[in-house]
Amino acid sequence: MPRPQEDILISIVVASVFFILIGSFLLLIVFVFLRRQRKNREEKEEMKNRFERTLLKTQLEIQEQAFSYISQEIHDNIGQILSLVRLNLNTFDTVVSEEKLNQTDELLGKAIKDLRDLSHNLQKNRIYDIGIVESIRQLLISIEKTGQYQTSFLASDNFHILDPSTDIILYRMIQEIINNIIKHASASTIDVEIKNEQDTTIIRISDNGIGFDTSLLQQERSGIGLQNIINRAKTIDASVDVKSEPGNGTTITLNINPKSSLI
Amino acid sequence: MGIQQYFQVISLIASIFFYLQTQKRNKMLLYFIPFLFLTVIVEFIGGLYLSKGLRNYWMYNVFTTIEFVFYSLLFYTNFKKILFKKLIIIFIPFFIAFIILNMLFVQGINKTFNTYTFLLGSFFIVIFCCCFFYESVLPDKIDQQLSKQPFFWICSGLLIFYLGSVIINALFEYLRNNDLQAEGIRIYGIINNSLNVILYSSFSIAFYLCRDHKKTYSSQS
Repeated sequence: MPRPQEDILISIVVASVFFILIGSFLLLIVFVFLRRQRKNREEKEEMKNRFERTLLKTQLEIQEQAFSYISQEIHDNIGQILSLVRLNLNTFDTVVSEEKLNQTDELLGKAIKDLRDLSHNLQKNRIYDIGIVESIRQLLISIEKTGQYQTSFLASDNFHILDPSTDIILYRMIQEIINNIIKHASASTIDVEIKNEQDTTIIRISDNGIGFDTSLLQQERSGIGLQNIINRAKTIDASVDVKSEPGNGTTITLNINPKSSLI
Repeated sequence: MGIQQYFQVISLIASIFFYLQTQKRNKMLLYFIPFLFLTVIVEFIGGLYLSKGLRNYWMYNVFTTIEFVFYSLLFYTNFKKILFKKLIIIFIPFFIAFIILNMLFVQGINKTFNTYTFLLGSFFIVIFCCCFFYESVLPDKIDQQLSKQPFFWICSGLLIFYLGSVIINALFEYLRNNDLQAEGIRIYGIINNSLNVILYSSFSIAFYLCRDHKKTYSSQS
């Protein structure tokens, strides 16, 4: 067979094989695409489940904290007042002096007021109702009332309203950070700032405490509390930045993207 | 009998066997039985014609028409999107008209193999295969395991067959000319037979997947 004709036949075979390869490649693409789609969906579902688990855990923690707050309030405050009222009532004669009556009335009034405050504070979905900003403000006020800390709170006016489920987790994270400050930082001031930068909401919590070496965070078993905060942050697609050095206090920054929704 | 004919017979037997085996008769298998029976008959008679030195083009020209219409209807029953179904409804009468015009005025019925109609049909079958794959990757279909769907195998076989045979069939006339006849026919035979083996093997796999599955229960851990 002459050379050019042989070349033509070879070209035909090569072209046919090439076309078959195109077909096989198309099938491969379909398979890879489907696999990736499935994997993405699984990851998304896993993330959603993790988010729901964290949300549930957080709600339980808040509930637990609320119960301990109720018991403390009843025991230390309302219980004391009512005991005083009882004492007063026991000292009543047939003719009661107006002063004693007023005193008892005042005590009962205080007990009623405290009970009402307690009821308001523990109203269901309080964070949902009053919002995260107000919740943080009240948290700081209650810390300042102890007389051991000076607090400051700065919230920008155009603060993004986050998703209510995200708010609970975020509030819990802030609470945990503040608890850490109280337990370990030996600080006298706690500053909280909330502001927006482009699409991101930034929450910065800083103290003037003893600080710590951030490289220790990498070590196993150290910084478990902070790791807990970081894990929570992952579920709401937030990032945690820790700046600290011994003797110079600590600043923890939470960066949240309110527009990114996990569910 | 060429190797591809054995595979055609195997797929015919598979279609009958799995059709009878399934309790709820599978419609796709039912459509395939007469079609594959016709395929085997045409290949057999075509081979006889060839051995006696007679022209068998008319037989293949008519058969390829039936073949393309059959595959198109098969796609029609499997498509979910109305747009794709409409495409087939438009394609079938257009294709039949094209075949008739080609047979009457251009390539004739027994003069040669009708390459123009084959190319047009191949083009549309490849398009239909792509449409099926597109439907398969839509979000509502992600859960379905593609390799366990019978029509996926039919579609894959058709895609490989028509993509692979398009060049050789487009140049059929050229290969038939005197200078290239001996080598040309040999290459045509090798490519065509190999593609037929792939096509009918994938049909057989599809029929196997149509069988009844024993119901098993497994609890999620």
